[in-house]
Amino acid sequence: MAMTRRWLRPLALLGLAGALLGACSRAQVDVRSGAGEFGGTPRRAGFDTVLVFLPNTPRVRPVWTSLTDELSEEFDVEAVEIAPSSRPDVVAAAIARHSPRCVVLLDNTTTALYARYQASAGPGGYPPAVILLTSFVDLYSEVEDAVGIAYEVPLVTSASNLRTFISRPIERVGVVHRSAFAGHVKHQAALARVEKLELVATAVPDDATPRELAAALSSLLGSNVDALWVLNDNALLTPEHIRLGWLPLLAKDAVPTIVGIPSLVTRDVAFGTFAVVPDLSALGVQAANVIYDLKDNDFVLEAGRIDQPLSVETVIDVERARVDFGFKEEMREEAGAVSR
Amino acid sequence: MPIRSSTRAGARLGRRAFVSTATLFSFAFLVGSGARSVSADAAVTFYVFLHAQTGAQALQKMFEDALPGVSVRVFSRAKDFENSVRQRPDAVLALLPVLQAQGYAIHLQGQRGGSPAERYVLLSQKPVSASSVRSIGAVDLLGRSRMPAFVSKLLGGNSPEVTPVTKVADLLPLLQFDKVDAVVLPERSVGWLKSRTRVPLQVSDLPSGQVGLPAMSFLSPAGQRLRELAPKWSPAIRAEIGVDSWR
Repeated sequence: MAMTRRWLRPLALLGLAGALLGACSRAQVDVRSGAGEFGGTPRRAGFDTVLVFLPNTPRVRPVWTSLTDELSEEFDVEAVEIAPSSRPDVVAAAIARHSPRCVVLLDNTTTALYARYQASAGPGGYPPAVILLTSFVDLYSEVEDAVGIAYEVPLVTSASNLRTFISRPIERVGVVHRSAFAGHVKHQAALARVEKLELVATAVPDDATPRELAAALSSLLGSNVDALWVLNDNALLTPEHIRLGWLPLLAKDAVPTIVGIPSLVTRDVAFGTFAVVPDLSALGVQAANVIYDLKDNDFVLEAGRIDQPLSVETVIDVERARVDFGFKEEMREEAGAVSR
Repeated sequence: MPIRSSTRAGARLGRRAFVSTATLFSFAFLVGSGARSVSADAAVTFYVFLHAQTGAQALQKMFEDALPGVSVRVFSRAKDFENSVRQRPDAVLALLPVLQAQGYAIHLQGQRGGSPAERYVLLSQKPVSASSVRSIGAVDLLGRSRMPAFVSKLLGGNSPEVTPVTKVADLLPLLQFDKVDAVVLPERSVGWLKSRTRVPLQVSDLPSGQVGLPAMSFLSPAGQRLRELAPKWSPAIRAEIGVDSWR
């Protein structure tokens, strides 16, 4: 497809979305030094402490607020702001100072830092860690003695939500994935069966080119899938992959596309139809549930347990859904945010 | 206009000018009063803690459309509501047990089909009974520390582990992922939840499954104005909150 001027702005938007994805795995914003914006609870005698390591970013705040609200009845909660430049000794000092029964790690950067702290401190003796807002935590976490809540909304949740909004049947959902995500996709396929959803997966090399992506998509669309599920994999969401891989195929074959980033649902470009993301405030409540479970179990954890997020928010391209997929008008109020 | 009264004509002009000016001032006062009245209405704060199927944002918009000039906040988290009502809104709307737990006087009680309470049931994948269920999902109405007693009462004394969620829709993943034996919810929400899944779900009765419907408490003279407005809310709002009349 020849690049024309009218594609520049929407591609820039999509490129920005890709950059935001990439930002999940690297430093985001500088954090003010000092006490920061996150006050904890007052210290109370006889209360165990939960230590929360977090960056100072907008998406962290609703999680922090609800988590603190829920924990404050039975725990003291302290925050340690993590900057892109933070070193493992910040973690070590905070743990030495607060002797937490449990730590919470918010965001990829924080989780990676904590893993470096453990690597430098040596094995054993760590408080249990609860990992949140971290990309593909089931695949990439190197933190010992940790449990987590996945950031990616499971396909079963996204697709069954999509079914409530459109009359077009959704039975077979296609996904293109790099080889590194095979385990994740297999797990999602197993979860999806409870809702009688079949996940049709096509693997591409870990360094797949836009052309290889296009070929995989063509094969998927040719196998009569009812929807496409786009993984939050920034390697397949570069501007080139979107322009030369995704868009040409989606222009030929209108299927609803489920994405994990709201900014990928935009009227400017026919890419995402339906975005499903975790409800961040409810995520804090769910994380508190995990910590209370830990407490009931004397802080002995089922290491490696990764829960799925329970609560989601949705964004739908109502106009496109109406034209192509049979949008159910009675769901208009529930549609939540819609693409602009 | 300057008032001149040196001649009779001037006196008449002066009186007319006075009347005109007085009229202008009176008008300004009335308009100003109206403007102050709108401002006073805009200062009325109305806090709602209910879990509508359409979600908190949609419910808030419905109330805002129905109550122009009233500052409406709809909460979906019990702790958020509990912390915020310390700011003393003018009126609150929540389920009866929520208002009672907060110590509020009940000024208006919602009714449906002539009853001030509605039936709650268990929903599960496998057959369960109120006496044997070991883990329950429930929308958090009362806060983490009070929910176990609330659920236990519904179950006739059984005290399972309670997993709180913040929306009715979030009860479904608890069942899909097999995280709980059952979820507890109003009977009127069962059809809605079942329509969102292909998982076959069973309904089981609760021995003490009656829960008070939404009720209102007016915390200030300004909040009292909402007493007259509540019965005039649209059928859509009444359907969302599960009330068809007020007492």
